[in-house]
Amino acid sequence: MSEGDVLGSSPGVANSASSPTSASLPHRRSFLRWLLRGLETVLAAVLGVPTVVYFLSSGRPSTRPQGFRRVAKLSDILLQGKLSAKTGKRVYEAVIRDVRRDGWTLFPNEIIGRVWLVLDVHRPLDPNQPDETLVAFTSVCPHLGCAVGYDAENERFSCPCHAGTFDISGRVLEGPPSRPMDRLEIRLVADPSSSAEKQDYFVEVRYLDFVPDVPEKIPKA
Amino acid sequence: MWQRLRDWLHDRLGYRELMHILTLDISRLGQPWRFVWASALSCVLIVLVVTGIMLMLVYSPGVSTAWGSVYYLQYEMHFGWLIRALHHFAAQVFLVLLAAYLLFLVFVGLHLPPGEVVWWTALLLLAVAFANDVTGNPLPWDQKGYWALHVELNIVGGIPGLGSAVRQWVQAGNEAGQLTLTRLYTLHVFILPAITALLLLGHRLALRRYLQRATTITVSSLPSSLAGGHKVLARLVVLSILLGLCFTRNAVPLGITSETSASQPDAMTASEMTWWQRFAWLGRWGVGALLEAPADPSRDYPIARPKWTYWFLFELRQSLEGPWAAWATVFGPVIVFLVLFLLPLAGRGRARQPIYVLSVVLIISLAIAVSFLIARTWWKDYGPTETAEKFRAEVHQQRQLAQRAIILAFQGIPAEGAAELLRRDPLTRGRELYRTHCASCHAFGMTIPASNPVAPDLENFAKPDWIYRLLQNMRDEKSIESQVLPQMASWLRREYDRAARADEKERMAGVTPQAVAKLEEDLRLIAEWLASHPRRPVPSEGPERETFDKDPSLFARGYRAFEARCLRCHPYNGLGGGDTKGPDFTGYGDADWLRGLLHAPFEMSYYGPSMVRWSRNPIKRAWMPAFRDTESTNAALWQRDLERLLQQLQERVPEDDPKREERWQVLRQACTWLPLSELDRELIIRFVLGDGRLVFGGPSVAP
Ligand code: FES
Repeated sequence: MSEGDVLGSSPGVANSASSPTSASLPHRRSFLRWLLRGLETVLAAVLGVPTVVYFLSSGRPSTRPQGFRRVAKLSDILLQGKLSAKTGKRVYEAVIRDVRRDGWTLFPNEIIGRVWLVLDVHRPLDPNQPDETLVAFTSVCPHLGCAVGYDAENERFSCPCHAGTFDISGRVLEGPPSRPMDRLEIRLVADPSSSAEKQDYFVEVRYLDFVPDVPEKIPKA
Repeated sequence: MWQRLRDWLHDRLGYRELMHILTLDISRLGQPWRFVWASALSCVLIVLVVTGIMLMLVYSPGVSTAWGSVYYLQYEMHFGWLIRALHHFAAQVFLVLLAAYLLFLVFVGLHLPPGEVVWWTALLLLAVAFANDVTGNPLPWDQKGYWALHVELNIVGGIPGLGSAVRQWVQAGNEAGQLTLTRLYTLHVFILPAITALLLLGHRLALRRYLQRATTITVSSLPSSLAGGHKVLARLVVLSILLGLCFTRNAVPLGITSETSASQPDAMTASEMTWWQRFAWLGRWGVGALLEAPADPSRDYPIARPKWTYWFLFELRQSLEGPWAAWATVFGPVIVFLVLFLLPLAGRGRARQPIYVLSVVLIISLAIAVSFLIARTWWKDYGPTETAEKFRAEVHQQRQLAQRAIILAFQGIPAEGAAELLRRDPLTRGRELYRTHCASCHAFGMTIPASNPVAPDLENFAKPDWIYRLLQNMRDEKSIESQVLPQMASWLRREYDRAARADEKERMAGVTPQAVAKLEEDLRLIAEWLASHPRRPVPSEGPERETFDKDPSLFARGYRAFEARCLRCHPYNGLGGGDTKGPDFTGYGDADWLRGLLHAPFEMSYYGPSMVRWSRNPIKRAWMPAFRDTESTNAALWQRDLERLLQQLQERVPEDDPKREERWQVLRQACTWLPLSELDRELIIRFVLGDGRLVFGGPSVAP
């Protein structure tokens, strides 16, 4: 620690090697002083480097599982989804729940995001290839990340922050967003509790975050 | 360039005059060795300030967050352990150095005129340093800090006059809580440091004036040119001591193993860490300052002690009794402080010499007295006496609680606050609940004996060996197990008899007997299978069944043994079960199964009426009561449910039973419930299953 003393003497003058008398010192003394100085520098580094590392660190990084999550049943979308008369699609909002860590606190079952599920009722559903029939959009706006809502009256998605709007297939209609709404990977899993003739499915979504405000859809690292 | 910049700055600010006033080259006075104190003190002070600011980057002053943030700082942040340890130990080193500095001031007579202000500011600095210590200790809001604060507030409150008002202000409520913590925090990080800074400035100015006019100071024989060296040496020594203290193992380790353990699934294991990470997280090995279990007013803390810096007051109070105790802890120090404060005023003119002698004597005897009192407390707690041993045992227990809390915190602290860690820990709270709710009938190994052991010991419940032992115990008619489950026990004995007879026949025929061996092997297999809490459906017919029959997996083999021996009475996943109906073994022994059992043990899919023992002896007439949450909104619904169940059970008593009335009566008694909240139930279940994960409230995804 080469900082000045608060209580006693002046910082610079007494410590500096260039004080007027130093030239007349015997070698032994000046060597001793350099040794002490060197030791002090080492000690200051031992204290200082960890302090800087600490200052820059922010604790445990939180990782979120990247796998598929069950968000809804197909029948939920059919029964509760809002019907868009123009396109004959049903729009349903599902929540993503997960463990959320915030510093030292753990929330065991928090809503960490929402997805918009859009089901084309008129198309036949192939459970192994649902992409044509069922589409999932994250509700995070591709512009700057506000929550995109569904405007049932105008049958389109709209973002409250900068008035970005998207049609029911996620294409940008107006506003600043530079890319369509972000589609999420989707998968259907048969619900074993449903009967064979009225087979129901769980909708599973791979929930990811994407880099905002760029024309390409890039998953966040 | 640099010079020009400085000149320009000076031109605009005029800072050189200020620097001139603030600085003083004492080395020219030729007594450098006397001023190493100042150098050492200021470097410790800088450490305190820097680490203090660093701590503020993470610390969160709230009763539900403080402990968590300190935990996070110490065990998760890189080098957080070092920062906290530096702050913790530097505060103590600062006090000691300051006290030594005061001694030094008295020895050199700096406290006498014209040094009054030098002395007063130094004395006040010591007082403020103590205050900083008091306000800093409770900030982690752990048991140690909380209970020390509790006592301190009581002492302050007991001072006649201002006492209760001060206490009221600091506490800001009926007991120490949220506002107390915020106030202590504000005092600790702003108000007291600001006062310290002002005092330092005053001290500095006074010292400068003193030295400027001092002609009496003798010129030392030491060459002045080594002045810098002296100070560097002083700093080196102090910082080395400080660092050495930081590397002591005072804290509780996280219990890092070389392999990942089930209780800490996401803990990074030691072998995965680089040497740098190990160093950065050295706190996980217990290096650094202690963090006790989170403060919990409902959990008593038998080892409440102030920090060692206050042991002299503690000891003083302990050794005196009655009204004198208050005098000793409050007025004693105040009077001593006042005397010290007023000393310089007496030392004018001719009185200077006698007062000098007096003050040296006084301060030395004070130092000795304080050290003696501190040493006495140390001896009491750490000496080779019996009380000390007891104390250390308690300390050990508290450390274990602390470690448990820290291991749980590693998995995540509930939003309700860190105190919930131990309140929702199956291994601590669950054990206590087991003791109160279950241990009247069920023992738990050696550690929890049953007061009236009429039911099986539940240590290692539903583990293969436990199940196998349960079955073996049933062969003895007198055992608890065969009395609790008489039908099952007699079946098992019959089965053994039959196997033994078959063996006998084989032996006569000269073939190696196998029936008993086969039975035992099957029982082992079944125990193994049940211990896996099976829930998977099993095909009952068709080609799937054929492949299942050839399946060599443990599950399939276990099920086949179960099917052959048990399925007749015990249903499994919709299959089997006759009218003798033993408990349904789908998911046997898992948390869900236990939940159902506790909810209604006399339900037909559990143990049915066999839970009720029809003994004429009322003491032996034991049954497993249902445990339900009587406070629940569902309570009324359950009550109806219970009555229906009772009816069903009563119908099963044969009409020609001569003791029908009496049995009905017993059944009615048995079909009662005992109150047990849902949280407590989960805690007990996890405890019994040896599952150490915290019970979070509400439906949970994890952990
Ligand atoms: S964030 Fe949605 S339009 Fe800007």
